[in-house]
This record gives sequence, C-alpha cells and structure tokens, in this order.
Amino acid sequence: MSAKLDRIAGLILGLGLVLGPLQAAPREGGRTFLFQAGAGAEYFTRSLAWDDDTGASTLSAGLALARFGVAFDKGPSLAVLAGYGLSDWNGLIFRDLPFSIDYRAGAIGGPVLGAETEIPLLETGPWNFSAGGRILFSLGSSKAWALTGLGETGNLDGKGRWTRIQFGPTVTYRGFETFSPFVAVYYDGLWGTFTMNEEIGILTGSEEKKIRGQGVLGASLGLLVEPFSSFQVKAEGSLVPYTKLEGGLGLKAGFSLQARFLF
Amino acid sequence: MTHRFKVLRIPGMAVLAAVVLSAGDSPPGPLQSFPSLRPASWTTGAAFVPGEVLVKFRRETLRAGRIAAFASRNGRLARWIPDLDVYTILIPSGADVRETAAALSRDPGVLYAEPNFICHADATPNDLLFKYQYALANIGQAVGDVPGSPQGKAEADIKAPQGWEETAGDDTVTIAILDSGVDLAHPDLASKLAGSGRDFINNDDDATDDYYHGTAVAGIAAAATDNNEGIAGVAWNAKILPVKILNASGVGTADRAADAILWAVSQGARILNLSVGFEESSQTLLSAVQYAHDQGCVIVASVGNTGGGVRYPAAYDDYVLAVAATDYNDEVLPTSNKGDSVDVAAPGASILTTVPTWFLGTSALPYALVNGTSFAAPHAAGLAAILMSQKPWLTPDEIRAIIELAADDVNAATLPGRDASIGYGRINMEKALVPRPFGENLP
Repeated sequence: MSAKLDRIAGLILGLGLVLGPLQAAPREGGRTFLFQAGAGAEYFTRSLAWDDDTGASTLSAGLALARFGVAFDKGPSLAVLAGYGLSDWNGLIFRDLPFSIDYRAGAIGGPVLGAETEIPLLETGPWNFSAGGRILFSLGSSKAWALTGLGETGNLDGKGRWTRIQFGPTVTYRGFETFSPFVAVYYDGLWGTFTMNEEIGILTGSEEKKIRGQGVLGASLGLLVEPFSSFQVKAEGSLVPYTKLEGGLGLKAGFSLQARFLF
Repeated sequence: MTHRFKVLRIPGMAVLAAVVLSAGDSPPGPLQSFPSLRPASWTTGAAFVPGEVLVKFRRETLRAGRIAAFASRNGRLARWIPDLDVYTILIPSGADVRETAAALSRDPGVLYAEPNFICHADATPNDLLFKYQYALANIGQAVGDVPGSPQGKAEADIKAPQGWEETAGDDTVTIAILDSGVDLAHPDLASKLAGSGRDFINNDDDATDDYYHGTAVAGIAAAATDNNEGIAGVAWNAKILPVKILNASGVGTADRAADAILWAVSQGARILNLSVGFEESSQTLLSAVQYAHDQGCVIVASVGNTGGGVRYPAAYDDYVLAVAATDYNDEVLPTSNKGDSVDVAAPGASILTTVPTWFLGTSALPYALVNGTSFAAPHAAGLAAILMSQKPWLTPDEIRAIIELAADDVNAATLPGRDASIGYGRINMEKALVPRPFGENLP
C-alpha cells in the first residue's frame, strides 16, 4: 500500500471527524448526534496478482463485523469496525521454498479491524449525494499443516493478512418512505502478504508473498431499509472488474448485509 | 550388457586405484528401426498477448485508411512484418482484445484482425526416439524396437514430462561428465557442449570419446531436446562439459579423476556426474570430492554393478548422491550394488541413449540401449541440474535432500522406508519440481 493512499484514507476519516461537528444541526435536547451500533456480514472475492504479476489467484473472504460509531445530524457518520474474518487463499503458489507448494488448504480465520465514514455532500429533491470511505485490516492468524507424500512428513505454517481501502461517491434515492436504493462507484484497493514457512528434514525455507488485488474500481448497488427511525438494514451487492493477466476482462463480486441501531 | 566395475591394483603405477569396465560386457545394441517423422505439437489455445492485436489490411487500403483504422481503436503501431504486411498494434489498457480484433475485422479495409496468440513449448518433446525412453515416460511401451523386447510397467519412470511442465532448466548450469569423454560431433550433443572439454588421459584439450561410455552418460543427462532428432535429455537446457578420465578401455585412475574434478569446478560446472567406481577409498579422490562439494557442486555417482557394496565416490556419504539402478518395472537391478550409502535409484536397464557416431558404423543411427547404474546416475544428475536452475539459492546438500525426499519408495511393499537397495526410492521429477498441493481437503 502506498503512502499516498494511506494519506487519502486518513484524509477521509479526518474529514468525517472535522466536518461532522461543523455540519451538525442541534437536535432536540441539544444533542447533535446519534450513536450507531450494529452488526453485519459480508463476502467478497478478489483476483490477486503476485510475483511481479506473473501469478494470479483468488482471495475469497467472509467477514462478520460489529460496528460502533456516531452519526451527526445532517452530517457525516463515523464508525469503527471489529470482528472476525475467514480468508481463503487457494491457488497461491510458493516457489521459493525448497519444495514448491500450491496452497489448497482453504480459509484461515483471524481478527478484522477497520473504520468507515460517510459524508453528505449534496441534497437535491429526493437525491442525496455523499462520499464514503472504508478501511479494513484482516490481521490473520497462523495455521499449520503437514506436508505429506514425501520421504518424510514435513511441516508448513503460514499466515496471511490483507488491507482493503474503498472510497468514492454514492447516490441515494430518498423518494420512498421506508427504503432507499443507492448506487456507488468507488476506488477499491487491496494489498497483503502471505508468509509461508516450510520444514522437512534438513530443508527449511520461508517465503513472503506480496499480493495485490487486480482491478481498482468497483461499483455497488444496494438498498437501505428503515422500518423504524432507530433501525436500518443495509444490503449491498458489488462488482470489481479487472484485466486478467492472460488478457481479457474478469469480474469479481461481493455482497454485504448490515443491521444498525441508532440511539 | 551390465557394466561391471572392478578395481585393480596396478603394480608400479603411481595411482591409488583404477577402474575397469568388464571386458566380458557385450556392446550396446542398436535399435533396429525408427519411427516416422511426427510434426511438432503446437498449442493454439486462447491465451494471447494482452493489449496487442495483429492486423492485415487489404492491399488496396491506402495509408490514410490504415491510420484511420488504428485511430478508431486508439491503437498505436508496435511492429510490422513487411513480407506479410501484418501490423502489431497496441490497444489501450483494459480494452478487450477479442472485441477490438472483431471490430477491426469489420472494417472494409481490413483483411483480418486477430489477437496476438501465445505459443507454449510442449512439455512432451518431439525427439523422434522419445517414445522409447521409458525411463522418462513409461506408458507400458515395449522397451526397444526389437521383436521380443520386454514391456515396461506404466508409471515406472521418473515422471519427466510432468516435471518439465514446471521447468526444464536453463543453460546457466553445466553438468560435467567425468567419464570416457563425449563424442563432440554427435548430432544430439554437439549443440549442448560447453566446449571441447579436457582429456586427462592424454593431457590435452580434446575430450573426444574413444570408448562410448561417456557419450551414453551425457545423452541421458542432457541430450539436445525438442529438436526433432534422437532422444530427449533429462535437463533440456543444461550444458555438458566433457571431462575425459577413462581411457579407450574404460579405465581411469584416482589421481586423474581428482585432478579432473578440480578442473571441472574451475570451469564453472555445478553438477559433476561420475558414473565410475573405485573399490577402495582414495584420500586424493575424497579430497577432490570434498573440495567440489564445498565449492557448491552437486556430485552424483553410480553405486556400481557387481552386486556388492557401494563403490567410491558414491560411498562418500557426506558429499555424493549415490544412485542405484531400477528397471522398466521399477524393480531393482540384481547387479546394482547395495549398502547404507545408497541414496536413490533411477532407471538403469535398457536405457536408450547416445553413442559415438563411429560406434555402430555408418548403417545405424548413433543411439543404443545400455544397462547399469552408470546410466541411472545421469538421470539424477539431470534432475539436479534442473533444480539448480530453478532454485539457484539451494545448497548442494539441499538439492540432494530434495531429490531424496521426492523419490518414490517403489519397493515399499517389501522394504518400506529408506533401504540399502534403492535408498529413498526411484527419483521423481514431478514431486521434486512441481508445486505440491496441500490442504486438509485433498484426497
């Protein structure tokens, strides 16, 4: 992840903190904000490139995230995210170990932390325009496997972690009473590393593979359902197109479902 | 045709030991006939160069029309093949290559447009005699082209094509064949030679083979491959350094062998194949082997064919990969020497390989079937060369360990685990080279 993108993500989060109080209008009783608490689940797949774009595989991740934050009246919202994620790295090939290996071991679980913000920009009739951003850190955890089928049984242990940053504009249609469809276009960056250690007989090796998500522009379509003023359900489907290493276009998808209480 | 190595004490000679190929051995036999020419197999799959389209215009299309066609797809000219009048154009990143080619094809000025397809080297080489090389790929074929030839057991091979799918190595690694020299003019070897080598028998720079043994060993390790001729070598791209340490009778001495090892190391050889055996240990030879090992060389040696104990240098456990011989059924050769020093085995029965062009006369092609652990060792040497190309950071000990641990324990039914006959087992190129899938859900 470049320092430039770090700064952009920090700027988005910072804007939320600074503009929130400035744009907030006083609520009854003098409170200008609501607390948000909720939980959600999401699943996404991303095409990964590694080894100087000579190799490609797919990351599939399922996340369960709790959120807590504040939403300022007519202003931005900011939430921190924490939860657990399962990341499936199948197809990642490690050729710098004494015995080259092809990861087919499925998902590895680990904690996930993050933050997200949404900043209202413009309201024209039923159309709301806003900007949003989110950063997620999948911290991963170590897992061990046996390397079998050789003259001796060997040991493998590996740990993968990734960072995902998304930001971009959202258009929401507020013309319906209890639900609001929205569409978003966003930058979607994904970076990470997977470190694999191998030990078999006198042979030992370690390989850190740097990965990046292929495709940096995504789009999503969703629905915000508000049956009560203090409860929201947000469902969203997303697509990230990318150029395959061998040529041609590919598409990776994701979806998420969140429930939020505002109080 | 089993080669037997005997050590003789030669009175009056300032040598520690000598190696002799048994005079009772019958010479290698030629193949009786050869298969007809087969065309190379080309992959014409869908893979193409991203961002490139090949365009051929109709002859009457003027320059302005051609430029307009490029401009319509935001294309830039990259290359032009004048004789075909075909342009390679670069299209914007992200543009679909097939769609762009289809759109250009609809231009009335364009004769055709197509993706710039990628070809892949076929991992099954097109060498004419490859189908007889059961040692590399055994499909249960007859061993040899002579009526009554035995039939091998499918899969009793070193899985060479599967390994080549991952890599066939490169020419940065040189295999020194310390033997009777190499036929420098052999059509399947000449292009692979790293020079004319060194003759430690006649003390000159011409390691021409006047016996046959070294030429046979060299062909197995690294004959020119995928060249529509002869046989395939294990290490397609490795270079061969001929080093002559056996005379025209197949006899050599420890001092010359030691001197030759040091010379081969000085010439940059990283793999040393010694398909020779001394009955007794020589401190001079051991010192040379130790030096080569410490210089980063993998030393591969045959264990011998007397049915007795492992010969030297194969028995120098700390420095040498000792190779026994199996046959086309994955059975150990009865004459293959045994002992704790045996590390691995490789096919050594009825191995089709190169022989000097003069060896069988002008009426036969210079290829023959040979037997013995001498011809098992170069299979392992070829694999070591590919591993060194693939992972140049590995030490000689690590390369030996990979070859050992990747071997198939083909006699596990009677002798499970490492044993004195075939060590860890018959070598397996697929397991040594190809990324190994792992995970709980695998069968």
